[in-house]
Amino acid sequence: MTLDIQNVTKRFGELKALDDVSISIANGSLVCFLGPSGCGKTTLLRVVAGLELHDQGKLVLDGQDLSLVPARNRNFGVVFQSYSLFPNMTIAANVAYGLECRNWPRKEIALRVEEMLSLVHLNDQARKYPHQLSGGQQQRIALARALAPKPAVLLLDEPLSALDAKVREELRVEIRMLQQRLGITTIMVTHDQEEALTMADNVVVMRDGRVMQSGTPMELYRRPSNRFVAEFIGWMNIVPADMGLPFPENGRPAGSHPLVLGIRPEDIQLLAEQDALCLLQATVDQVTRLGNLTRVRLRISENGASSREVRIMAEIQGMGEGLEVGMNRCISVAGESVRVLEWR
Amino acid sequence: MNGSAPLPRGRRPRDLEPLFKVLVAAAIAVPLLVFVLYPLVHILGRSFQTPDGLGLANYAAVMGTQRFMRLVYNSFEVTVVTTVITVVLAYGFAYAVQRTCMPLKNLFRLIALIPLFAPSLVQAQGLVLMLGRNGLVNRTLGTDFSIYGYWGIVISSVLYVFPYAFLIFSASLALADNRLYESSRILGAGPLRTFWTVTLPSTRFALIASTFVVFTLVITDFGNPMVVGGDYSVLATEVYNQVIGQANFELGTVIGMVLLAPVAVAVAFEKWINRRSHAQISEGSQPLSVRPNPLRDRVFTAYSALICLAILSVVGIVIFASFTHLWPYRMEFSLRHYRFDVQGGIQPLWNSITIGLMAAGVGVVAAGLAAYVTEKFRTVLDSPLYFLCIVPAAVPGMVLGLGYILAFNAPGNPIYPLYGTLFLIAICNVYYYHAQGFLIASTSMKQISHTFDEASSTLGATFLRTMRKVTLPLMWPTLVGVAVFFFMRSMVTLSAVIFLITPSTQVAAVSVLFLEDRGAVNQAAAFSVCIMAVVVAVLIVARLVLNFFGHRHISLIR
Ligand SMILES: Nc1ncnc2c1ncn2[C@@H]1O[C@H](COP(=O)(O)OP(=O)(O)OP(=O)(O)O)[C@@H](O)[C@H]1O
Ligand SMILES: [Mg+2]
Repeated sequence: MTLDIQNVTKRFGELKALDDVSISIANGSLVCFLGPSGCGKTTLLRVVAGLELHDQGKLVLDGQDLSLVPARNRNFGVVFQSYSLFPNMTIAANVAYGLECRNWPRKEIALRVEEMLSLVHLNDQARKYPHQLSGGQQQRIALARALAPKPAVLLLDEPLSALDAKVREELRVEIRMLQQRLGITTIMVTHDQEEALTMADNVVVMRDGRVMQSGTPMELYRRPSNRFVAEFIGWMNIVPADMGLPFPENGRPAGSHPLVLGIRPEDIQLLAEQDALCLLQATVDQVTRLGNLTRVRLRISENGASSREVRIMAEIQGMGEGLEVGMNRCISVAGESVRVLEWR
Repeated sequence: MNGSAPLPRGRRPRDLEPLFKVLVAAAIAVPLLVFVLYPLVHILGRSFQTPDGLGLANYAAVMGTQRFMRLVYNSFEVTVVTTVITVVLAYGFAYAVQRTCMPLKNLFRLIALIPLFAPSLVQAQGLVLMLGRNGLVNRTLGTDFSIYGYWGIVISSVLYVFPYAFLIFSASLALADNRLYESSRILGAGPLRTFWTVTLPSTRFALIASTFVVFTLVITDFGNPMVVGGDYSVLATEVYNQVIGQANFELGTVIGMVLLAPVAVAVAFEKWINRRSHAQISEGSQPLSVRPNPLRDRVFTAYSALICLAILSVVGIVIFASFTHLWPYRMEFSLRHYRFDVQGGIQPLWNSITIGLMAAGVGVVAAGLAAYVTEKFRTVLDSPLYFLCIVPAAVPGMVLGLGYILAFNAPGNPIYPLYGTLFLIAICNVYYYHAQGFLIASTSMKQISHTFDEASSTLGATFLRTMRKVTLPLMWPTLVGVAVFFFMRSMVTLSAVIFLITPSTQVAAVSVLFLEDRGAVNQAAAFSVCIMAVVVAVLIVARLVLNFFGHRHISLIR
């Protein structure tokens, strides 16, 4: 099932919670909506689920416009942050609920419930009630309940954020494996970039109701198209373009020149002062040794036209022997690993 | 495997559920319009109706008189004095229950709530038996003391409304942030200073709310003033006298309207205050730990014991009198008053029970559905429907009852076939108490998370299925509470039904009033005792059922 979100806008009174959002989701892929709190991720998911009505735009599933189809007829599986298992029903009854709504025969319901519970490894809990299960188990049941009616699309709203770190890690892997095995088109909302980068085929970074960039985790990391994405995903040094650092020419709008550059810390090389490749002179400010990795903060002494003091973070492999605060070092970087984040 | 099923194509065109929801919301509003607004409009219209067309003549005729000014003055005098006394006494009592280490708290609490289980004039009944012209005191001491009049009304009214005020204060004092009290103590404040600077301000909403609730109850009460008022007339008794005594509906309606005004203002104010009283306790609040303090605990125990003694003695004397041969002349034990060989016999009690059961059934459906629709449907009709649901709180029972006669006792009216039936009396009770029943249900519905509804609908359920499978199973303990509430109030209420009864639809609480009026105090007492027994029995059964299913936290006494 391919899902196309086309120019969707949603207002809450004055506030534009979604502003002309367009996303295309390929069949069988897992897409993460990622962004800071209040950027509209949940709203977008709820619009897709049919729990919220959008003001403008279209939702198209395999060529079919969903905009007027109510939530109960969309056949989307939704997993909420708060599990929201029905407290008055057993685990088995919870999983069977969607099947009963679709009037499946009893026999098939029983079989399907069995199948779904074994999918999440909780067969032995069928007769229990939700409050007798741990948070992680409840969320697995919620997943089984959402998947039972063979939904067209699976929607997950921060499904792991109420769980503790270890359970979260386990479930991440489990959800991803399940999703790939079933080949089900999935949208997951999260504000945890690690979660998004490790699980998703595609990540959509949002801010203030707008899509800032979407692409594979690698694309977003290697080629952030603006400052917000650069800073939101991983760490990136943001420096003025007039310091004498090289930058790639591709994608340069005609007649413009770069304004702001982004450089990942691991792309920076630290050389001896007199090295021939030296681009900028810098002074070591701080050295943090993390074992296999050393993080070095440097202060650029002479930085071209700009008089602002610029600090740069570099990451070098190994213990960084011989590096000490106060030393002078020379900075070098390959032009192709620099990103121009703003042109003028 | 890709098990994704295609969308069901047949159901693609426009969803009818939103339209259906608006229709249901409108349907829920219809009975409220018919059984609340229509009678009110009718009574209002009638008050302007004069032999020469519409006009203010009735108002002029009533308000111009010396007698009317007297009535207004009397009503306010009694009400204000009663309100002040009750609020102070009930606050102290609630404080004792919630904030001291008094022993036997639960017993004290239960005793304070007894008046809720009894017909609303039981206090006056008890007072008359004890301090009336032929009361125990005059009989045994040979004095010629009379309780009838102003003080009789005040004392019986205080006892009547005491539990209502106590419940409000008790709920408010139960909430407290221990951190505030600790910091007050650390800053060196003594107990009295802490009370003035922390406790009292944090219960200010309860103080305002209970003041208005008590005010409303007292100014509209007519059972107690009828029995113990003597020559001291108030507005409520005047409505009764004009309508029943002199068949003067016009003047009755005018006085009813005069009564409606202050009540409406009080209720509106109380609701308004209530809206802004939320979230007094912030996240991270710590429950108050009350530490023993021998002197304080002893003082409050003595105080509470005195109050309980007063409540118990008034109710106790009624129970006692019902078992004597002829109060106060022949005090030997007798069951003869339980033969109910008076006119009509025991039928009124059965009528009351029937009405109570019908009111419980209809009330649960009406209040429950209204709460469901206003909480869950999110239609354009939400606000008007909510307003309609709580309007009855501002209508004095007598005014509603009078409205029923005027509106429905007309052969052409579609409701006319119901007129003179127990069912219409039950309906009247349901809508008289609708606001409270509705609020109980909607408060509990608010606590059921929205995500259950959303989860259910994304799984493919219609809202009817959601209601049947999810909402109702989660709501039923509260609905039992709502049913018990309607039953209990229907058993003991007087004012809403007084105008609606006929000889064949006599109810027990009215029997008490009539028997008392005729001087048949023993039989009146026996009727009161039966009412109390039924109410208590139902409460116990409901409690046991709820406890059996693990719902101890659902409170039944409201
Ligand atoms: N029902 C609503 N009524 C009014 N405003 C709303 C409503 N729901 C969301 N908003 C507003 O819309 C904006 C986006 O909210 P949304 O819940 O989609 O954010 P989010 O990205 O999911 O944030 P979080 O990570 O905190 O869950 C917020 O500013 C929020 O206050
Ligand atoms: Mg969210």
